[in-house]
Amino acid sequence: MVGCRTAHAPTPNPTGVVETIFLIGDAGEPDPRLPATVLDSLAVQAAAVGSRGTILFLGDNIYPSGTADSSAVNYGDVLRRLDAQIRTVPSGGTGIFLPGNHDWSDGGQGGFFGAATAADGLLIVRRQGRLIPRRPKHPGATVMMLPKGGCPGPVVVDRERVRLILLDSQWWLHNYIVRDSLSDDPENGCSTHTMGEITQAVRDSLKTTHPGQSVIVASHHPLRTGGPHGGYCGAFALFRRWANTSQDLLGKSYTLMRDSLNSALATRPPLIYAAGHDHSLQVMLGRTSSYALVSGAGSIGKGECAARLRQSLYVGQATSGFMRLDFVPGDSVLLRVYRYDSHVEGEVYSRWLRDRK
Amino acid sequence: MRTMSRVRIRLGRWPVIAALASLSLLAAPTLGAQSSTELSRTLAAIASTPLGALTPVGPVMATSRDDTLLFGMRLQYGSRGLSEGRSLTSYGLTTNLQIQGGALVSGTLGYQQGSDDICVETGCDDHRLMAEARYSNNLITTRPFLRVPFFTDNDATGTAALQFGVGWAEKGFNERQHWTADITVPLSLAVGQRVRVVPFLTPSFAFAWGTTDRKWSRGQRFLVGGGISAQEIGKWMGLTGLDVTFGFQRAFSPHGTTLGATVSWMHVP
Repeated sequence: MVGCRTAHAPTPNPTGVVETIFLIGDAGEPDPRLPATVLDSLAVQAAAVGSRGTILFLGDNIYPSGTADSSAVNYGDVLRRLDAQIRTVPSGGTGIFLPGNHDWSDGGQGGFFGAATAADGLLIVRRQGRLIPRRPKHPGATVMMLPKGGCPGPVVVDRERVRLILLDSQWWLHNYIVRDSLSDDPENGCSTHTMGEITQAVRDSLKTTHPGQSVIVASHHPLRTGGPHGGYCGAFALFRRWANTSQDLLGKSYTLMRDSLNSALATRPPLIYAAGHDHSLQVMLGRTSSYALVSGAGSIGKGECAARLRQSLYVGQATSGFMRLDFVPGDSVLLRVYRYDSHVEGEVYSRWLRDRK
Repeated sequence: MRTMSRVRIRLGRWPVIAALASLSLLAAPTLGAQSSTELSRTLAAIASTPLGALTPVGPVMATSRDDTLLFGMRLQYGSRGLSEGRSLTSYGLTTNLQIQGGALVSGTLGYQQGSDDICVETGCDDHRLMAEARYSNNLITTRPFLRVPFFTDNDATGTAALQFGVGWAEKGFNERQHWTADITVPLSLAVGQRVRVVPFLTPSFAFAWGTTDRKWSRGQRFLVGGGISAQEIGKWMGLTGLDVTFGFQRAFSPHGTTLGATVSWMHVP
């Protein structure tokens, strides 16, 4: 049952929907002992929209330390985690995996398993990028990691009604510039190498949007969140803000990234800035985007607290789920939030989104 | 005299004055005698400053961390019943500055008016100005843990906060001025999507000082405040940052309860 506070917008006629984007993040820890409700529901909905649908996996696709080497004892589990997500992409559909900090082997720290050094993070995220297209998938399905090769992006993916601007935000959060000879390769290397180049490319991508296109900028790390990474929840929230943790919103590197991206986005604010990282479902009014979405609840059992901010429109805490965006002709987009926990199962919130800036 | 001159030269005047003032406060007799308003002198000091004249508002509602500095205002009303139908009525206007979505620094300017028959002695002051500075910060917000009927989406979360306040009031209750300082630990539950419903308690420990003819007297008292806030109540009208709170502040003694209401607004860009 859903409480009376939950807002619902009228569902558009399926024939009127031009594009559908699914947002699911931090899905890299599907527990084999629990029912795969979230991924199963996502797969069913994605199958219904077929080739009109794109699933954006918003990073942390494999916990805790990214794609292990094929000789590693946990390699089989890595494949299980990845395959569970790839299976949700239907025939004719597209699945795009963004890298998160855990896909970089927890930012090069090695994570729980790890022997990884800081430089190994680059190799580990590239390994995932190569592995994803090779895994078994539905016939005609397209799956890929973007930005690939440990490059920061942005990568622009154009659809009829929507432009996706995709970033590897973990690139910003190392305390050194992650770059090697492959990054500089003129054919397959990175298109940007410095923070200035990235922000300029984001500006250019926003300015060259085609008429009638809505813009979604997506990365693993949010620019706004009420979760633990924002320094709000838990016993150590007050101390995390002083700890200068690179993965927290108030960390020095993170602040630099936020300020830089906010500055770039302010030139022509996109409709949505979508991210994961915090394991909750949050719909917020954005600062340099019309809306800020956090959809990081892709793994059952990993749900966390999220403070309701004054900018929050919907907060789903300690839950799992995903978000769905249906683009109809014109400038309207229907956002729907689906969550699966002991309270509710299914759609809990919907809202028509329009550019506010 | 020579020694004093040296002190002045080395340290300046203010440290000496501050040290002497501290000594005088430590040596001051405790407040305890009954005033003409039937409030004990400690309670009179608390009741005349915003700490006791107005009612608390509970923990701060968070905003986004990229809100470097937000400006807000608060209108407050409080009423304390005395014997034989007499009362003290207070109004406060507070300016709030919220830093990076968390800590709140507040400055309050208030006015207190006694009912017509408040004065039983000549020379009694039945109205006064008051002021307060307060710092609030949330310490801990829990995971959702308490299921609440009618709020089916999320369980209620708990928050513990910390506040420091310093209050002042001009002459009244046979004193030339009053000062209070308090440490408060607001505790709250929060539930709700559109409007956030927040019942809260604010246990405080307060020190009070009063002065008559250059003599300072001091007392301390445990207070419990509380109430219920409806945060973001303006979302129904598309207005962000509007809260309404009904609260109480109670000292455990006769005429020790203030009831009040607060309307808060925070400018959220």
